Amino acid sequence: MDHADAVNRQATERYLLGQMPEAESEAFELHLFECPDCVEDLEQATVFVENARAVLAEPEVRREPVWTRLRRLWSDPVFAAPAIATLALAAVAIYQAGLIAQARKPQAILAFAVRSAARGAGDAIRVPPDARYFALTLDLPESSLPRYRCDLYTASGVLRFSVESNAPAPGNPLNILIPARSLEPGSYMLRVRGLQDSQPGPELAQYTFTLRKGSGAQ
Amino acid sequence: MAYSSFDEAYVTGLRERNPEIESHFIAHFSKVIWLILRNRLRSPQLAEDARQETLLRVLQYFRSGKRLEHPERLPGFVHTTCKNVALEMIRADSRHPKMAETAQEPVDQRIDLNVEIVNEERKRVIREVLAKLSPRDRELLRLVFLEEMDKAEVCRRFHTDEDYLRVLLHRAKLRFRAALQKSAHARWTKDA
Repeated sequence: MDHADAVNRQATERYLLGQMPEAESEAFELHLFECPDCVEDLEQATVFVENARAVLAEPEVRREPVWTRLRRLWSDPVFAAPAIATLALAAVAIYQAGLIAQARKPQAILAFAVRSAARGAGDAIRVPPDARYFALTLDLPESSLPRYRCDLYTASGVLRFSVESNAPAPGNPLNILIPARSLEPGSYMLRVRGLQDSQPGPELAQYTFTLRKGSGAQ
Repeated sequence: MAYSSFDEAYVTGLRERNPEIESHFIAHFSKVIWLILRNRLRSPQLAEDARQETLLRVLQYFRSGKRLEHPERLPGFVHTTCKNVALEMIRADSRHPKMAETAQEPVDQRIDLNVEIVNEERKRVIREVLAKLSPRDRELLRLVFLEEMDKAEVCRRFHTDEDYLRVLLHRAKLRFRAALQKSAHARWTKDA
C-alpha cells in the first residue's frame, strides 16, 4: 500500500471503523511505519474519536434555534447588563489594539540556533520573561525544494503549530519567529519537510530543543 | 534521520545501547505503535502498557546480541512485535507477566501519548463539529463510538450502509482538523 492508495481508499476511516479485511489492515499498519502523513491523519482521526466519545457521553442539551436562544438571553437582565458592559470593554480593547498596531518601531528579537537531531541531543534555550517573541534558527540540509513546512510537536506528540516558508537563499538558515507566550516551557520537536506542489514531502530534518523561561544564563 | 534509513549501524547502536540511537528509536516508533495498539486494544491504559512492552521487547532483542538479517526491515520487525504484544494483551486482559521482569528499566516515562488526547479545547471544538451534524448523524456516531454497537446492526437500524459511516467519519475528521487549525491560529494570533 502506498500513500495514494491509502488516501483513495479512505484507509484511515476504514481502519478505525474495522472495515478492512485483516490483510489490508496489516498492510495499512505496515504503511504507517513509512508514511508520516498517514500517521498524522490517523492521529487526528483517533483524537477526534476519543474526544467525540467524551462529548457524546455528556447529557445532551436541548437544541433550540440560535435566534430564539439569543432573544431569550437578551431579555434576561442578569445576562444583558454584564453583556453590555463586556461589549463596551471590547470596544475599548479594539481601539487600544489599533493604537498598538500603529506603533511599528524596530525591535530586537532573541534568536536561538537549534541543531538537527542528527548532529546531537536537543538544545536548551532560555527566553527572558519579558520577551514577546523569539526566533529559532535552523541550518537546513541541502535541498532543491522551493518551500518548506515546519511542524512543532510537544514531547507527547501533540502538534502545536505548522508554518510554511519559502526556502532561504543557499547557505542561509531558516528562521522561525515564535510568540513567547504561545509555548509553555518543555521539550519540543520541530520536523521540517519539503513541499512539492503544496503537498508535504519526505522529512528533511528534525530539531529537538528544551524551552525554558526566566532570567539568568543558560 | 529519514523514516526508512535503518541500517546495520543503527541496529548496532541499539545492540550497544547507544543513548542517542535508543532515544531516536523510541521517539520515532512510539506514535505509530501507540496508534496501532489504541485501535487494537481499545483501553487507553492497555495500549500504553502494550506500547512500553513493545519498545522494551525490541530493545531487549538487540541488547541480547541478536541481529536482523535485513536491518532495513526494522519497521516490519517492530510491527510484528507490536501485533504479538497486542494479541497477548487481549488474551491475558491484564499486565503481561514479563512486565514484572522488565519493569526495572521503563522505556521512557516522558512520552505519555495518553496525556493530552482528550482535553477541554478539543472537546469544545468537537461540540461545534457535532452541533453542525444532523441529530441522526450524531446518533450514528454515538452508537458506533460510544456504545460500540455492532456497525452492521447500526446501519440496519438507520437504513444506511457502512460506506455512509465511513464518509461521515471522514467529513467529521476534516471539519475537526479545520476547526482545530483555525482555533490554534486564532490563539497564536492573539498571543502575538
